[in-house]
Amino acid sequence: MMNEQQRLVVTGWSCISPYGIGAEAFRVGLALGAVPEADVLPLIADDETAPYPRARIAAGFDIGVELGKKGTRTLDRLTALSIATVGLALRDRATVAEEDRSRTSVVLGSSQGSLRSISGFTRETLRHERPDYVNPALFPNTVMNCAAGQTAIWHGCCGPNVTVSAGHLSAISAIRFSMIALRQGYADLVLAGGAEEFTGPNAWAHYLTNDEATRAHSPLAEGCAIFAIESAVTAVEKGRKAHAEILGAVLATYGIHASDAAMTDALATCIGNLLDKHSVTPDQIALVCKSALEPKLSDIEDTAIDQVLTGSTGVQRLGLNEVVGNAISASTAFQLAVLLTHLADGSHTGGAYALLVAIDSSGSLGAVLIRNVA
Amino acid sequence: METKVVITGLGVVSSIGLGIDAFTEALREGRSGVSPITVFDTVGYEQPIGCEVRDFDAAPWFQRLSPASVGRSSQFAVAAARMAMTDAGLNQETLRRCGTAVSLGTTDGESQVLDQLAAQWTQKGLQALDPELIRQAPANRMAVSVSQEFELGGEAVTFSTACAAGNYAIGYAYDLLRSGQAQYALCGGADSMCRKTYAGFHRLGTIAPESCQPFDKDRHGILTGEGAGMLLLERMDSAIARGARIYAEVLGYGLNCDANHMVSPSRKSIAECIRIAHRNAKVEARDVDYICAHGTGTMANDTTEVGAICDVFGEQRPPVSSIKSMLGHTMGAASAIASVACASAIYNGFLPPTINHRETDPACPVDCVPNVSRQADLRIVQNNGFAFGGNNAILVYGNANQEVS
Repeated sequence: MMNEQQRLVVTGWSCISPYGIGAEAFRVGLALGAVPEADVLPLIADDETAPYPRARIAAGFDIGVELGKKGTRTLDRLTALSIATVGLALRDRATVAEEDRSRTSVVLGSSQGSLRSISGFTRETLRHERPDYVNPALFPNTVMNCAAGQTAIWHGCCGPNVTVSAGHLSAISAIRFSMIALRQGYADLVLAGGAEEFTGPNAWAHYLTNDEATRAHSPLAEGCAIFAIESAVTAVEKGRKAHAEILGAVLATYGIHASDAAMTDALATCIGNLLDKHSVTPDQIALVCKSALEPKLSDIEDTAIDQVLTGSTGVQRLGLNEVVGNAISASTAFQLAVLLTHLADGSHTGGAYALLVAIDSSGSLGAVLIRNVA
Repeated sequence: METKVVITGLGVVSSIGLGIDAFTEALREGRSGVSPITVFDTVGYEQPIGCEVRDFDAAPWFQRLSPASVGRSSQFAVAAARMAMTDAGLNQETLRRCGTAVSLGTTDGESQVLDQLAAQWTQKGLQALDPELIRQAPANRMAVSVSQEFELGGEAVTFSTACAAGNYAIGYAYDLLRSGQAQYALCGGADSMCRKTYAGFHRLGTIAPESCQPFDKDRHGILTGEGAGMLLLERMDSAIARGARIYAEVLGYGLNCDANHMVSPSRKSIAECIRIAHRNAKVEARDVDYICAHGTGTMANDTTEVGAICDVFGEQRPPVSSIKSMLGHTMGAASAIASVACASAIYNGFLPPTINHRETDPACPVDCVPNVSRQADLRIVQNNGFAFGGNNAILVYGNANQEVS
């Protein structure tokens, strides 16, 4: 049904995570097991506090070191993470520096931009004798598309520049937009993913909106994961190696008063429809990565996965909470990173397909289906 | 055969009118939405004015969710979505059965909630932030709130691509429909006025003291505004089958990025975006009968935008007006409300005016439909939306009742 031109593949990817800078650090870290935690103090601004002394932060990421001092003074951490990770993903694609990026698109999942930049600017309006004694150079940082816009400037990407917010599922939304943009011919290459910064306000937001059991179940994490997606035909023509094919990404919502059973049904239906659409049977699934944002949501994901993959044995199942944590807007991007890493190491048994499953407490649920082509 | 996508329902919350009938009448009459600002504390500013949605009562528009459980931007979005659904002659059950998609654009999201959180942080510290406000703050809550209010069950996504976001959201919905991924979509944009954005633009010296005068040689900048515009999109065959009123057809859209500067617009890049939009919509520049401009009223925007229009259209420039002269800059809602205006202009056959106009800036050589609306037979209309981050988005709408010759 799908013609060759419509097949989409990941030809490069990278991430900055608690394990360090780059996909290799991520791979090594996943193989070792425990998610590193680091002292959060270096990331806490003078006027901030944090509820956690240590957290799953991207401790190895220093803006000055990764991006240099020039032109980076006013960048917030979210923007810097996005710029740096896109650079790493492009490098993974082994692209020549001279590549024409007039039709290269940046599509970033970000739930609400930089809460620190937004609130910090507003706080300046409250602090001084006049409400407009603010630093105008910081005004662009308060708009939610700052990270994607600055990333486009840094890397010269003139294709559609998109910031999408779907909560923890923002990266699924970014992938959905990317698939449309490539198939409709709006772009030749899309750099899609999700990013999240660790700051005082973000840490308190996580602390104050999750109970103790949830905080222990899925600790706050930080980072960014970006995937270079293009048509399979282009990849072959240009001799680029494909990491995986992206078959489909779906999103849905559940009702405000939905019961656990209704949420499970909605998620199972969503996953089931995705598999059916691509004629993939449960036994062809090698690997599933669930969001596991909360104990209850993790159980719902498990039940939905069990329902859809009934009778299929040997499916490796991972929870993002165990291998990364709750990375807010970057969560589903990290789930995709986990799938790609595990597919590449070849340790899985069974089929060639892998599945990302997500449900969050704000009302969104979704899934992504990929195929190993390596 | 290409699937055609049409607009069959319109909803709008604005400083110049609630609902499509009141809004259309205000556009025709060239009404101004300016009033003193009351929605945030303006102590420290001299005569702060803006385009507020006065005395907005969210309660009548809500059935499922509690209006108090969402921020003001979501309230606007839900109200406009309900208007669009009703205007389209569709009921909630039909939309629910089809898993209707919601895509919404915004600049500042739940900006008043964020203002409150910043105030709490300042007064009592981060540890004292109200968890309920934290839950209301993320931008995705806006699209999800619309979906949950109508129990649609479909995809709900918020585009936070600043002041072009409404066009992004409508373009995305159009693609969902024509690629068969949704049968109906509620799409548009919403924003509410806030302390942060007013301070930022004020500091940049881009807030006009009295009125917004796009393309005028004495223009002084923007007035901040708020509101929401929502459109109900469906396939042409679906609209015809159910005998729906068709306002206009979505012909296509173009997106690109300046990739040059966060706040200064680029003439070259905007011209390129216009060409991309025309190509995707399969129209020629000479076919365009009207351009609903981004037209913020700042020195930089208007000369850059008109310059780009000159580059693409040459001497054959269609009328170019800015409805921001009437309802201010509604940020992420702007291009969505402008899309509502385009659909109404096509359907009702008129050109919305640029009010407050005295003398056209020689650097903006266009017929800006000064002060008074005009009757006009519109076949193809272009809606410009530009944003911080060099995010350009241009929609092209067509008259569904006339074939282009």
